[in-house]
Amino acid sequence: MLVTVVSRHRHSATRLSTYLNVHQNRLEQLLRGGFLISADDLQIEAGDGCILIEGLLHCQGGIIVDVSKRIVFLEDEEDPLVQTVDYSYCVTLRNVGVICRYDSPHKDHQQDHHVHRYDVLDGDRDGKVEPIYEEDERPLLAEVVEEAAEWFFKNLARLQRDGLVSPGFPDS
Amino acid sequence: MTQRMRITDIAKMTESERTEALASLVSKARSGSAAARVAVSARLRAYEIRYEMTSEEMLRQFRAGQIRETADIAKWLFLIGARDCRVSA
Repeated sequence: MLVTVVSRHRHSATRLSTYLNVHQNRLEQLLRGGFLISADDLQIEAGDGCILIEGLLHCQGGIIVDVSKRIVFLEDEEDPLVQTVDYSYCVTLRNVGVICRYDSPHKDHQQDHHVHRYDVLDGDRDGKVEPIYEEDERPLLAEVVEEAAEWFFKNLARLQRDGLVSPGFPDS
Repeated sequence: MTQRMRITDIAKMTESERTEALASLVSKARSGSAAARVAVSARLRAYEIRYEMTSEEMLRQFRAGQIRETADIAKWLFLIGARDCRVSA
């Protein structure tokens, strides 16, 4: 008997409707969790031959995730298979600086998926770049928000001491 | 005009509204509107004015390692990708 095994990776091509369903479900989970305050600025737009997803996710403590995604069609169906070809997820502490930024590969420079990490609370503006070679290590957008939450709660005492978040810290 | 929707609004749609909205989005993206091109060009132009160089010059300097990959530059690169999507597809 011949068995065909179809490998499904977390960043594989998927139907646009499925892609958006997963996206929305994860955002709703994050909103219910409370760290993500608003996803209302995140928009989907028809580009020229592609779809763009862009906007800000507003989180507790003045943390903002600036999302840029470009999605292309792999077929001509009405609900086509789509694939993300470019992305940038930039996590910023408002009025302070960038905490980290996940980027897709660039032509001729940083040709792997990579993340820039900054020691933002100590004024680091140069950061360190870490390549990401394994597909499973490339985060989904929701995982970037979860990482931002982890960073926030790990640094909360310092943020409060430095007056960067209010004691109640909802949106600081 | 470009077609743009909030992701959170899509979640509130009925199944049929959602199917119709996505079909329209896909159709507009496939056919490629002048409005979409103009919108991306305008955003690129804003970066070009702020940094006082063309997008092509930024790319040249970036590839030569003369420009640091900041959040602004990452966004600029993203927009160039959006502009050139049909070319590189």
